[in-house]
Amino acid sequence: MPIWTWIRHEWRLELRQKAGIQGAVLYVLVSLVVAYQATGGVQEAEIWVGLLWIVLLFSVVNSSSRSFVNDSPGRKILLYFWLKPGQLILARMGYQMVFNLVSGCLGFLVFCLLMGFPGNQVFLMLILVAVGSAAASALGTFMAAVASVSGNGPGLSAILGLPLMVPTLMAAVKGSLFALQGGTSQAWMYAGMLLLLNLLAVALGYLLFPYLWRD
Amino acid sequence: MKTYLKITAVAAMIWVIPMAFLGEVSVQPILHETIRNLYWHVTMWFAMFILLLASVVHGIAYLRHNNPIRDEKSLALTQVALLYGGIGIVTGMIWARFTWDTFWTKDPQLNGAAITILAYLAYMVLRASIPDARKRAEISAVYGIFAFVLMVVLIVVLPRMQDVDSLHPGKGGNPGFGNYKDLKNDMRLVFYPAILAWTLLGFWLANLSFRIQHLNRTSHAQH
Repeated sequence: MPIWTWIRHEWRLELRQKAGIQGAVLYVLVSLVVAYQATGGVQEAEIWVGLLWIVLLFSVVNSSSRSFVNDSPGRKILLYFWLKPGQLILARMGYQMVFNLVSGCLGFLVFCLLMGFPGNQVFLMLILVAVGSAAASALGTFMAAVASVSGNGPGLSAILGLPLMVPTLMAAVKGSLFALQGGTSQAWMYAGMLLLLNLLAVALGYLLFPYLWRD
Repeated sequence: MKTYLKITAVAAMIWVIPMAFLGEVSVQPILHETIRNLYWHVTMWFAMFILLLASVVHGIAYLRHNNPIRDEKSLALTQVALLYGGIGIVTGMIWARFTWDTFWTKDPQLNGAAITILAYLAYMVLRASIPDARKRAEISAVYGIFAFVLMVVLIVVLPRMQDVDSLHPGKGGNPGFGNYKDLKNDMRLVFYPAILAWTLLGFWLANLSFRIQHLNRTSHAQH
């Protein structure tokens, strides 16, 4: 089976209980409005970028922490026999990465609608938002797996995941600042670095998940 | 731990501690005598990093062979590394107060170190939350490997990117310690043994902690 089949399967599972997706999208919107209300709109590039990434990071944490919560014991057994552990984690990570990439980009556009865009390279920012959200969701999904097999709720996956997401956050914030202030080549370099973080997180997840999934 | 390693640790400390306070040091503006903190602060990070590396090696070995001893050793090494990290932060803050005029700055290396400590505190929380010993060992080994690799990216790669402003020597356009003209070999003769001393002391501490915890666990099992 190609990887796309497993991701589509995840997507179908999500669609069956619409509350999950609707909740995740609403979470992005609500936190955007909260950020807007709390600051009254900002134009300073550093604060603007910081707010954007805080909102994006927390919505990624929120959506990815759900990724192993809804598995009933019966479904776990089915997945255990149906997929190899590596396939399962790739599917889960892939689904979350695509979902957060899309919702992150949409959230970014809404953020610009509310706060304005203090620069001119919208496309470059979109790329950074996409790779940054994807990297954070790969990490978040793996932490959700760790929290789930340890018998803890999604609360622990936030505690475990947030410190590990800081390298992603630092690269994303730096890159975004360059994108806003005209440092195109540096911004692309940070986008490349975020892409590498994506690959690193996926590779580590693929290698390590089999050890979590063997009971 | 082998006896000759303990003797080496003690011998190195006997050399390092007086030399750190009394030895010849490079004369630099702003730094002045605080440069002696090189032997305490910088070496703490080296030692912490080596201890964490050893902890990850034990974690990998646990996943391969499922020997619970490996997990206990990995835990003890992480605990000592956390202690070293705490000392590293405090000594760094004191140094920063006297040279950069503030306890805490936006310096990427400083914040990278703080985040590493947070990640390993989360590791402790994770361990505490799993009652079953075998599961705890497995899951914490996986988290430990994952966290370590990402922290290497954070502490080693990110602060070395060309455009990053760091106040630390050797980065962001600051001269590295190796470039100080009058540094010569005098400071290296204390600096390298200091790394050795604190690292070996760390392994010794971890070994004692492991043995105490191991005895506690096995004696509980018998009663």
